[in-house]
Amino acid sequence: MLRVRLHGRGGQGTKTAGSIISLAATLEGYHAQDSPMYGPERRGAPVASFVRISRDQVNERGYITSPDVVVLFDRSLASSKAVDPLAGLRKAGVLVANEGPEGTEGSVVRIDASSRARRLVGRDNVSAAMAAATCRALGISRVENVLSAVETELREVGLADQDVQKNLALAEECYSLVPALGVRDQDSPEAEHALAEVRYAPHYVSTSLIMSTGNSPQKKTGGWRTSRPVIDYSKCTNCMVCFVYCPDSAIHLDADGAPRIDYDNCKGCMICLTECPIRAVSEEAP
Amino acid sequence: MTSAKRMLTGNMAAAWGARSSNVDYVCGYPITPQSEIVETLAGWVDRGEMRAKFTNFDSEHSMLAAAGAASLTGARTFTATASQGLIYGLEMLYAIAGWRAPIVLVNVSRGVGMPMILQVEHGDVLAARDSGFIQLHAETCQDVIDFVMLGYRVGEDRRVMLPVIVNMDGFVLSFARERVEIPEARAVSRFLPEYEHPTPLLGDPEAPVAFSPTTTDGFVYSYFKHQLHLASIESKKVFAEAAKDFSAAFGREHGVVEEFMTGDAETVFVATNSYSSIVRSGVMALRREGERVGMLRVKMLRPFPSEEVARALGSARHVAVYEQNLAPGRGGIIYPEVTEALYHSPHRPEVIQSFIGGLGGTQLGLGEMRLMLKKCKASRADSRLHEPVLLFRKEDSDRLAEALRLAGTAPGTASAVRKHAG
Ligand code: SF4
Ligand code: SF4
Repeated sequence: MLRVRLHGRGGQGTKTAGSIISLAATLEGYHAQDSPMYGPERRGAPVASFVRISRDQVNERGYITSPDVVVLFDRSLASSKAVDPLAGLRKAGVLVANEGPEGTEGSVVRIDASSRARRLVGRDNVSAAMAAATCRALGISRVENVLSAVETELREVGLADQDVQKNLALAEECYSLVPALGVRDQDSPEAEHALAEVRYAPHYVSTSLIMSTGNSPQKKTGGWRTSRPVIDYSKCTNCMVCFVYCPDSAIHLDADGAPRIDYDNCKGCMICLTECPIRAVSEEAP
Repeated sequence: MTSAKRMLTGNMAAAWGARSSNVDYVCGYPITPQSEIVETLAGWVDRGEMRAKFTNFDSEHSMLAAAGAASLTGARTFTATASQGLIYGLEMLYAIAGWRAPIVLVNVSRGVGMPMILQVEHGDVLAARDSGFIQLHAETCQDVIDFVMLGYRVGEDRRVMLPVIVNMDGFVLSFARERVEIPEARAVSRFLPEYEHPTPLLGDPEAPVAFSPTTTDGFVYSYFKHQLHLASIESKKVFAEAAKDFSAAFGREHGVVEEFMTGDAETVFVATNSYSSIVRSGVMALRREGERVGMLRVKMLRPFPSEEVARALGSARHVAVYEQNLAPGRGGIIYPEVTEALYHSPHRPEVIQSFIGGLGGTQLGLGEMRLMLKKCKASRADSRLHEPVLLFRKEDSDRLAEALRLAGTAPGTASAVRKHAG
């Protein structure tokens, strides 16, 4: 059984990439299962997806704790303690990362899928690119089946014909860039986990209540950002439009009335960019 | 439509189950993790890919009222919900069963707050266990589609006339894609005859019928409640017949329970729903180490298949009942049902131990399986076996400590001490 865990952000195509990999595997005659994991958060929040590929029936479900392969869509997640994308990666396990400079060292495959997607597709959705690179690295599927899986899954999520074509070109390019590492098929089960004993606790502990009220500032939602708004203060007229429109109150006005973005909490929705009447806001990498 | 294998989520499989069963009417109300089912059906109906009427309601309660009433008029009716939605509509479940309206309801299991959660726990569907609905619990996406069809076939049988809940696990199955065979229309029409209500509401204007009477007489109430029970018991026999035809039509076997490596097993794990897959792989792993273990998967929770359970477990020394629900003050809900089934068995197991895990989608793995086996082997018949062992990982315990610290309720934190000094 090969266990693949994908980490990305909502909107990057993490779930779809999982679907492409598993469909490509089934087209080669494997049994496969893919499932995404996400919470109630929106676009930009960390999401994960799991693919299990086996010659026999897949008898596992849910979170993959000891993956053979980790696919990382966003390098900014690598340092996130909450996500901890490499957790449990097996010895000699493979990492496929969306980052430059491109190349393969040992079992780490780097591919700048975002740049390639922006060039070929016109937007930073790397589902087809990362899925194709992963399929190639794992040696689980021939290129024609990968492309067929890309086409099926992207049509399934409603992509227009011309975008599907562009993604097929992107997938083919990424497939050819990566060497086949041929990850060894693990038949060992997932790692075992130690258990804890739970005892009855006093009411204030055992009731699901919050006593340190007002603690939501501790949740830095800026981690959800996939792009960063930057204000050009040489143009900005302090008109306050962005301050009013920011849906997350992530813009405040300083003593001089100039808008300041709180990057700890800005989610990168780019509403400020859209609303700024003189285009003083630009979009940059997260 | 020819038989086709496709990668489908559990939710999509449920929608295909309704579509393959040629339902006439779909009642919807969105709720995570079920929404994909009604969204998919609404899309199909809208685009004319499915000949049915779809109505989106203002709540699960009205949705279920409409579903039951529609079924009484002779429309094959499908609906779906989850968790709080099912509980909100609970009153109507009793009404639908009392009307003997054979709808199929897919429940996508999700924990019932508080605290609020989106992931799986079976407290929702098991709260409906005494409503009169037949309950079929799915392990795989294929089960979902199969159980919807079997549900109509059994529920609509004149000897039964009962509604059916098909249960699947939220997230773990509802969002997981597996290869699923979508049945061929011709095979479906052989297996599932058209639905006709024998005494339909709004049928013959010359001979109108009315359902849902009110009575002040206990004997009337007793009689119909007992009839409901007998109908449910009858459904087991009808299920067996239907399963035979199902296998002939589609080539897949379904029993009310599934036995896996139980033949010579000393210890048998009882499981339900999608985590059965994990238990099955754990059984295989432990077998490789020489442990004589097996699994009994209960597929039909209502009517409870007591005889089949007793037969499957009768030769085991230890029974580990693993379940994903927790009734406060009781423990596992399925545990007493299994124990009761075994009480009258000539060869009762020495140990029947209750385990609770997977609440809110927490993980199950070989470590937990090993612990359950160890506990069973160490248990004596006189220990408090009914008191459930909570399977709770050390790493989850550490994460919990961090959450309590954030909430200011961890023992010894400033806010806890401030408010609870003395
Ligand atoms: S992108 Fe702009 S509008 Fe959106 S959260 Fe950030 S500062 Fe606010
Ligand atoms: S909307 Fe544009 S011009 Fe107005 S305050 Fe914001 S950045 Fe400056």
